Amino acid sequence: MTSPASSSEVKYLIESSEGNTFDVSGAALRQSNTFNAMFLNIGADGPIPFTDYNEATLKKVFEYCEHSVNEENYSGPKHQDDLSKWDLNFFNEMDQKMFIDVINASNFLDIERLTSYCCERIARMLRGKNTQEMIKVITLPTAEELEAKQKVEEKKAAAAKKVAEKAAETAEKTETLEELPVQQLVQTTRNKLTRKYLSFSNE
Amino acid sequence: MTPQPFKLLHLPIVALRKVLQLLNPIELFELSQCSRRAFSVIPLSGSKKFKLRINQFSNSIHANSYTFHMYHNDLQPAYILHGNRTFMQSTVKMRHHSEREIISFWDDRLVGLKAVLFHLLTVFNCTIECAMFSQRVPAVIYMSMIDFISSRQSEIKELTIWGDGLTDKHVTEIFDKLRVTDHLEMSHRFSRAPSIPLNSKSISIWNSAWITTQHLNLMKHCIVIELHRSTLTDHDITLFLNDWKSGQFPNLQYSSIKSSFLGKNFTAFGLPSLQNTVNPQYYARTIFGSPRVIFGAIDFQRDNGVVAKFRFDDQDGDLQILLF
Repeated sequence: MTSPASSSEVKYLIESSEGNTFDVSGAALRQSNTFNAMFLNIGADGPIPFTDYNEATLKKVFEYCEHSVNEENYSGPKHQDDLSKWDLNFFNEMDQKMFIDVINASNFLDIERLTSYCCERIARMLRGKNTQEMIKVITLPTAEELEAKQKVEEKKAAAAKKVAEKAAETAEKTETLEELPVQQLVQTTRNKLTRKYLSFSNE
Repeated sequence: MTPQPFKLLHLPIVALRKVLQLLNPIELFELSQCSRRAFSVIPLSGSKKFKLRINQFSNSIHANSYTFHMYHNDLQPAYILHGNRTFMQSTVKMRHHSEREIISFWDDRLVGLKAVLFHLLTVFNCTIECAMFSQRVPAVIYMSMIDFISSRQSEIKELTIWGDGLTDKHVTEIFDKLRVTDHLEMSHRFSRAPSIPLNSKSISIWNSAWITTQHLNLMKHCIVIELHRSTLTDHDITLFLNDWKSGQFPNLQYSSIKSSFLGKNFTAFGLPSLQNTVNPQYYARTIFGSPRVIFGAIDFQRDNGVVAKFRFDDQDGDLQILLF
């Protein structure tokens, strides 16, 4: 769906990781700085793919955005005690997995208000606690987990590097034949591989 | 949300940073004790900007307005303890004394001070703003602190140079490694006149027998000059006074120079008396956090028209100037 940036009545179609689509208002979407940077001025043809996140998570995130459309402009994190009843219910009805998914999605979509409220909620779990009490409320990766994670990351990085090298090699061979289109293709491939490589490294 | 353990370190980095920014230095310290990985993420909180201050008088280190006290082990029985904490390689008993205070217990409080300092500088990845000492610290401990501090920073706001067994070489080395920007306090007595920068805004030297006119000239941009037990002569003081009167030492707000080497007939500016003995008043100002008091001063006008409170006590050879 293509839309002019200014109209708040315009609905956008959002696509989740399951391939499902659903409507979100322009006003709600505009709370996402990622959306603003990517689509606000150019509009979007077809559904906007936020396919790293499932439907339930995205719906939860945009439920928050729809709710806060009419709230005053965001001015820094509120103290938890100042949260409205609606906000508290919103957070309380999530299990931890959903909560983490919402933080991840909110972080990706760069929705400052929601991310800050989530972070304030986590900080509250730690506030005023000593080491022993903190260990009870947070799960820390064990040395084995860290080692295993590092091995997986190294393996992924090595694989990504190998693929990138191969692609670059192929690109160099074909570059002379159809110079311009191939160069563009190689650049696109390189960009994709770099993104993939970075996402592996960041996991 | 169900109260199952939360995977804090699995948060995206932006979110983790926001969470850590909401914690205070003591909470961050406690978190750093949870695991090596937790220790390594603390600088995300912006702790690099923390202002650390050593207060050796109370044997404590302040991080912003949060305090880490070091007590002697003998005091342990008087307190309820809250487990052990590790500072560098030393694991010691500790107590959460209040929301803003932690106490750790040590066999030797100075060893504790050093360990906690090293630990906090490492965990917060910050610099130290102020290291003031109110009594002699063994040179070996003092220099190891200076070495550690200077390996991380080349400037410090406030520093006391006072160690038991510090040599001229040690002290010169300190000046080579660290520039003291705001307040320098020292009690070391050099065996011969050193070549060191004396350009801090405020300088207090308790044993200034080694100070010469050349050293005084290095202090021309100081705001406070305090020299005790100097060996400055009539000629040295006259030079200083003339320089000050003519507008050199333009920033000077307070000076107190004491010398027992002044001649019996010495008078400032050749005037018979520079004290108000008829109706003496107190004049006090706080400069760099310390009260500067002058009693029985008279007004004295410099060549540029600025009037200062001025007093010369010929009994104890004390020359005081205060811009009031």
